Amino acid sequence: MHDGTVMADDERSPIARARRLADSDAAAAIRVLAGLRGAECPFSEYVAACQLLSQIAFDDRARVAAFTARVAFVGNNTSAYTEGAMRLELSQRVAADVYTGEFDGWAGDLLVRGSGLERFAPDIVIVHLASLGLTTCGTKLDPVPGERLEAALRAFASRSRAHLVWVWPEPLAECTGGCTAADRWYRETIDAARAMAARLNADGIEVLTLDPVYVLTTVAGWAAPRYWAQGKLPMHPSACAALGRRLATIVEGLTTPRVKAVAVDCDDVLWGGQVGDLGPGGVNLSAFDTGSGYVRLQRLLKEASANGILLIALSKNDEATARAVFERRSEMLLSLDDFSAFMVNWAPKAQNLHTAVSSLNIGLDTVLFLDDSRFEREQMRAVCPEVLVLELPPDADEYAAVVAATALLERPIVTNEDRRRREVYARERQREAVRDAHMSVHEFLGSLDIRLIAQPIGTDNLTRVAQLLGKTNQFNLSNRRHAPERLAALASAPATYAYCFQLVDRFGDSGIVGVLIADPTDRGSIEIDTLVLSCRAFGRTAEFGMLEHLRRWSAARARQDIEGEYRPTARNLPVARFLEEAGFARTGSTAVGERYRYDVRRGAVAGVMGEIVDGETPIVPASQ
Amino acid sequence: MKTDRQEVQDIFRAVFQDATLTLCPEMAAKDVPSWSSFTHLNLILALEERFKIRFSSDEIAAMANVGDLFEALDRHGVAAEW
Repeated sequence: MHDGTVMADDERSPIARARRLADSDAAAAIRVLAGLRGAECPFSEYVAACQLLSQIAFDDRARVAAFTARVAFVGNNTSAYTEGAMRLELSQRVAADVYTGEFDGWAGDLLVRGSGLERFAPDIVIVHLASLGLTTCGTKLDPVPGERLEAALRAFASRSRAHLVWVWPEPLAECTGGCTAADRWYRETIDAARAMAARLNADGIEVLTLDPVYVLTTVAGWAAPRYWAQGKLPMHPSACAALGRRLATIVEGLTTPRVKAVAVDCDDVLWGGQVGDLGPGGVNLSAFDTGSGYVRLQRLLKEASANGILLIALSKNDEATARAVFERRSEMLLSLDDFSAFMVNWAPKAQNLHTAVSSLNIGLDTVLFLDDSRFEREQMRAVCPEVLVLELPPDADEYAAVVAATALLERPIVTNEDRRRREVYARERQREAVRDAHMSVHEFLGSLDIRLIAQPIGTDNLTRVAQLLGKTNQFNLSNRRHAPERLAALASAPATYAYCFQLVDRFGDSGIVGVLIADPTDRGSIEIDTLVLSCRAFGRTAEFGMLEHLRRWSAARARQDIEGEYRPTARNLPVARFLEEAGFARTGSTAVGERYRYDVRRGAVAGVMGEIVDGETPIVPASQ
Repeated sequence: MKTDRQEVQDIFRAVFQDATLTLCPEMAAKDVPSWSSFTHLNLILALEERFKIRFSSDEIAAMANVGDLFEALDRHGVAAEW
């Protein structure tokens, strides 16, 4: 193995890139490091990212973030990993200036006038007394010094306007949830903590409490007393990091509410299935079986709405059809009144969101976007990078938990707002830099490496083609539904154009998403019989590519025109203007539809992006 | 394929942020400026993660120099020996 390979490895590593950038371009280095945030990178790499970020000067970090916050950690344990993860998690929005109290020096810091903590003038103080510290690494199950902590918090609150965040002790590794001495100690400790928080809050001292149990349940092997022995870590470093990420959401919520609005897709997010195909009565909202995930998410959004978070519906659908679900389905927890904007149409979602936020007078950077389609999420990320795009899991059953875990819709309880309100250091965003990072919808599509693979309809794909024809209601030009036998006959007629289309882009292979069948006429033209596109493939230009494939086929056979007829139905509005958008000229009306024509010699139809290739079978990698 | 020893050296270089660091058995914390109690834990974490092993509390505490560390790795079946 020679050095060259090692160097190449190094160059690919984000850490190595960030390290190289750190001195010359701190902002770029922070962007690279922020990319590792919560990502599924090896934990040691995550730690390296945290460490590198901590070496970048606060002033440089503050230039990148929109806000700054002075955050102090005091307690009886080593908070290095917790702090690091918090700082990394916040890096692009809030630059955290962090004070770390002396080990076990919390009482002095909170009680003594002119202490290091007081001189730091924190905005937020995180108090974390870990169980391992309170019990000498689990060896002494003595009552905790509750009065001392309460007195210290009261004294500090009387002198400072900082928010107090109190992380409760973690269970001991020996806790079983049953009746061991460790369990009794832990329960008594938490009961005392709960009572203390209530007393403080009753006296107007607002203490936000965080029970770490809910964070720890997400981290396998979180209990690791050996790390206490070596480094006074209250739990495994990866659990400390998870705690740090959770604290980041609290710090962010206190510094500036991150989310003012949730822009939410409808089909397969608020209900199961496509309302355009199933109809308002057919979408899945059954709370007793597989529909409960959608309804749970609605409950969460309803709560957010009640807490003052605006809801924006962002769906590619026929508006009246989507509204009908809200109006007619009694299982719906959300009503139309819960929405501040109802952007349901066929325009790109980024464009609709722009319209909504400007009418609501909020920034794109305060919007959380929920959509089950990876394509829509990536398009939003590319076109509106300020928008917070959440990766929804494939199973709707997990939607609500994933959204809740971000804590973005939580609002810390504010009982004494006047006393607590903090001026944040809001600064003008560096608009220029942000705009440079933007893509247009067109550029985004160009970046997708769209490849449309045309396959003649035949035995291999007949089942899928028949299924597409049977169930596609929205992007269906003529609404003809050929049975499999008829399809097979069309496919084997030599003069008939009968193709289906597989869509591949950099997100992966969507499989067969479109069908186009056209018959020669005695006028020398070719007439579109059937054109359908799965709604999964909307907005990725496949429909234009399909027409262009037909055009090339027709040109090769000296057909002069392509003709087509749009036959309106209750559901196929999305395709109403499609032929016009592709450059077809309207030539008149018939009893059932609108006639269009395209002169093959004009060249490519409008709207085509990416590559159109012919393939008998799905493409195999070039190496095979 | 890199040998275990090269892998260990790469981990040292990454943790201590020194691309030229070369291991020798006598090397101890005092010889590496950025070797602190914190980076020591990072080193342990990275080694545990890379080789899918788990050091005991005693092993973590007893690693006074690189030679000790190699011995501990050897006990866990990692052939980093000098």
